[in-house]
Amino acid sequence: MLLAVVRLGAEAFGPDIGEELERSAGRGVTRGALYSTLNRLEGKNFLAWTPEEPGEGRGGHIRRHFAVTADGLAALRERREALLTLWDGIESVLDGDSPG
Amino acid sequence: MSGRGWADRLLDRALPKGPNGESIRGDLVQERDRRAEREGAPSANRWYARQAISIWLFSTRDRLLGHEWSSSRAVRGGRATGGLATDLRDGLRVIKRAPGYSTAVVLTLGVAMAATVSVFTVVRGVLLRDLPYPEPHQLIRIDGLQEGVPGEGGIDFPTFRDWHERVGSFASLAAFQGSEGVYVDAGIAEVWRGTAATRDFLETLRVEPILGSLYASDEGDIGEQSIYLSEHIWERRFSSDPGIVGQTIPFYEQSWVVRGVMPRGFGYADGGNDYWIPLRQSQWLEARGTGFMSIVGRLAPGTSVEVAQQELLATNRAIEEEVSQQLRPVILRSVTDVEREPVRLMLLTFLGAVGFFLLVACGNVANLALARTESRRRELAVRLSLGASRHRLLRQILAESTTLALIGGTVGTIGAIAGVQGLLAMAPSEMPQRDAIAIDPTVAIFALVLSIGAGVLFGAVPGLRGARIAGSGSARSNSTDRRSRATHQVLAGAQIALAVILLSGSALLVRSFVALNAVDTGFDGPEHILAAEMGLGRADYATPEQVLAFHDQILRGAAAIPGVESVGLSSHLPFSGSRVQFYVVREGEAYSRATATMMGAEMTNGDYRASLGLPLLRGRDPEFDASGRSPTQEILINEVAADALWPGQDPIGRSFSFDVEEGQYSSAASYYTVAGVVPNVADGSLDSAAEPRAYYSFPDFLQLYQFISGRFFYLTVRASGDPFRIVEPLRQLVLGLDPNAPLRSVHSLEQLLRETTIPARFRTVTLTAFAVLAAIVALLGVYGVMAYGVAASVRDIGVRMALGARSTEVRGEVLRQAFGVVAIGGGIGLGVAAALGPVMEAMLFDISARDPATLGGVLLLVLFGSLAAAYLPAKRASRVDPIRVLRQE
Repeated sequence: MLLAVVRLGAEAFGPDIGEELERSAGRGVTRGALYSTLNRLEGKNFLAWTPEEPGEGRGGHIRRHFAVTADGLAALRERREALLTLWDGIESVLDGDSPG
Repeated sequence: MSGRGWADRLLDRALPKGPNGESIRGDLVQERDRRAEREGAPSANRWYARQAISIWLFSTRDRLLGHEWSSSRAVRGGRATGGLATDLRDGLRVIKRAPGYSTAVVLTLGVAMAATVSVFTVVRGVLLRDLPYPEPHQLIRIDGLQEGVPGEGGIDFPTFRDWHERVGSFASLAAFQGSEGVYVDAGIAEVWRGTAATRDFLETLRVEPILGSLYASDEGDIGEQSIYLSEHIWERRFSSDPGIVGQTIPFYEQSWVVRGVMPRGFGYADGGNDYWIPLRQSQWLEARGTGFMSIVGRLAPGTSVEVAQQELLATNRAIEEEVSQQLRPVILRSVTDVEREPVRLMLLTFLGAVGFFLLVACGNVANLALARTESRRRELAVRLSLGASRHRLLRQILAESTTLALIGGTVGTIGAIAGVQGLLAMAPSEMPQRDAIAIDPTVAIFALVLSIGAGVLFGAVPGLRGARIAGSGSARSNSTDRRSRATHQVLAGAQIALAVILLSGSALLVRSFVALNAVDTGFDGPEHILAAEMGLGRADYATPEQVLAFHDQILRGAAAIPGVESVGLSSHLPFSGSRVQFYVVREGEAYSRATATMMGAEMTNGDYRASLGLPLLRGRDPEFDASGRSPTQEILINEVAADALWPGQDPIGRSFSFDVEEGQYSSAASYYTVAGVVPNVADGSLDSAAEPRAYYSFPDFLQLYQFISGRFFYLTVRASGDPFRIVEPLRQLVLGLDPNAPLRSVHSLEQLLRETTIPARFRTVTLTAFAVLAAIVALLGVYGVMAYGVAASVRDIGVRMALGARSTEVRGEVLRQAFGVVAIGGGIGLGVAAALGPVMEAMLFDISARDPATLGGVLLLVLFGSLAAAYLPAKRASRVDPIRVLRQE
């Protein structure tokens, strides 16, 4: 979710995040799950949003633009490091080089 | 279409009000319309309904789990959002990230808060809390004025009775005086100190007994032998017997009917609080002009003190005309003020001192926080670029500072439990309402508010700077560096100023305390002198002859104890001041209040002068016959009395008299002749001026004046070695002479002397502790600022050294900078200290509040301390390696 927000950057509005998630996951994402997750991430201080003008076709309702906070970035970095650590040492195997 | 209807209603229930819910609704509408274009309206509507259900399900689940969707984090341009809990969570994170910084802040604030909360607890208990009587503001104390100063007692009974009948401003008016007696139980005698009062005394104060009842107002003769016991006497002596009311107890050789038990903590009156008895009618009580009573009254509803004062004065004028005798001038003061007066100034000074200390601590941690903010420049810039507003950054920094301040406040409040105990242990006994001094919810709220205030105070400067720094990007610029260094220096200078103010006050107190201890007490070797109090029963010692016979026995018996050098007895304890004072006139002069001199009277017997080691400055000792009387009524006077009566002349052989015409002391005019002059002996406290005093002989006096019974006196015994070795033989002697007259409050004069300096010691030690702590914190602040300054300008220093600057020059410049900060701060502090002089003056003895040597010394000390604190950073600066710095560039 955080990656989706980072990837969308200036376009990180609710529906766009939803579509981006559906695209990368290859399946539908209910909006209940979407907004619940956004709310949780916001509660953890990983996300923050700013209100923006509604634009057309929204019945005059405002739009929220989401951005990842410094804490969110730190969390992403941590997650990435954890993943990379898991890959440590087996990359050579996957790449087909014989060890040693 | 109907599908949209219920879906919308479902969304109404599921979504929060406000921007969150509104934007989600907008998102859904937008997506539905987009889908309708692609897939047709029915499919889009079905999608919409499904999402509405999912939103309802998820939002309900989240609500149950405590993750309401309404929390929102938008700040830029919108309302400030994010709850207190989030801020606190943000704040707590700082502890994990910067434990060293957090510990320093919490400890600094903790110590300052402990001091502040301790002092506030005492101030609240003593100065802010109502006295434990209903409607305490209505209670008025009436005192006689002596030489323009209100003194305890001083009102005579006939005048009181006239007021009672004629003055309408008071709902009730009661007279009282100290009383004491001996209670003997199972062969052990103990002295109780209580209050003898008119019957409406308890009613005036409106204090109800916890057992028994007050005298009913329609009750006729209540009898002289009614007694109310205090709760502690009831517990200790009568094992809290619930059936005590109505019982008869033996007390002071008489039988008393217990009317009730008064609650713990009740104690009004200058006398003791062991018991309350009705005031006994006696002949001397009826004499107008011999005032021994204290008066307490309750104002009638709606009456002011001023109105009461005027009515009382008018009544006094009327009485003066009727009896053609001048009455002593009186003063009306609220009971609350009278109780608080002795400690008010001292406590307010303490409060000011801890306030300054807290400010120094805040200045210090503000500097720490500022340095930390500057080192977080990059993080703040990232946050800002990620969408956090400046307002948000300020708020975050404030959340951190407030969280740390709250932890410091908690630590401080816990520390204050010990602090209050420490203050009470040192506090003088005249501190009123000791029982009411405790850390209670009000104090806790005070601590909470103060912590938040301190947090905002020390967070505001770094917070505002942080928001600005972040805006200026992550690159350092010279102008922001310069500005931030200036902020650091102003904060350090302010700390120094406050520390100098506190140190000046404490240095003055220390010097005045030293001067107080160096006061010449007038007598020799107080560590060898024992003073003990004695009281004889009224029944066994009804006549002067009986009293004098006992005097004689005890004097001779004590003198025979091995190790005793001399024994005397007197009507007053040294330091206690004279309770009996007369207006005297010189021989041959007519009496008038204008020409008369107020003179203290002390009655002595035995070898009193030798027992105290008082030298004769002039003349000789009075000559006594076998009965201890001086046929020519010879006496000793002190130096002040000699100067007051015969300035510049030889007083030996001169005589004076009391105002025998008016005072009804005696049937015959008596003249007393000065045989010798002794030094002034310190009174009450060492810092009070000595009063004129004459030393009469007990045998002379007892024959003449009924109001002096001689049954209460102080034994003064000079021993060759440790005076406490003779306590036991002395006790045995007294027990053998009269088992009902125990020896009580046995002290060495050295102990008594030390007791008189307790208030001075209390304020000196307390204020000095605050001042020294503040100075340490301020010097640490100077060190921190200089160290930070050096660290921040390593690059500049390196460049300059590469260009040829010598290390001594660099060191000198850092020291000069420190000197500038401290000199300005110290100068301002000294100015404020001098301006606060009049406040201090009242607590000082023998030293001016603007004593140049003391104030100058403090400034020098602070300058020296600051330079020492700045020396380490200066040395570090002079050792900067230019090559390494340039390589890092």
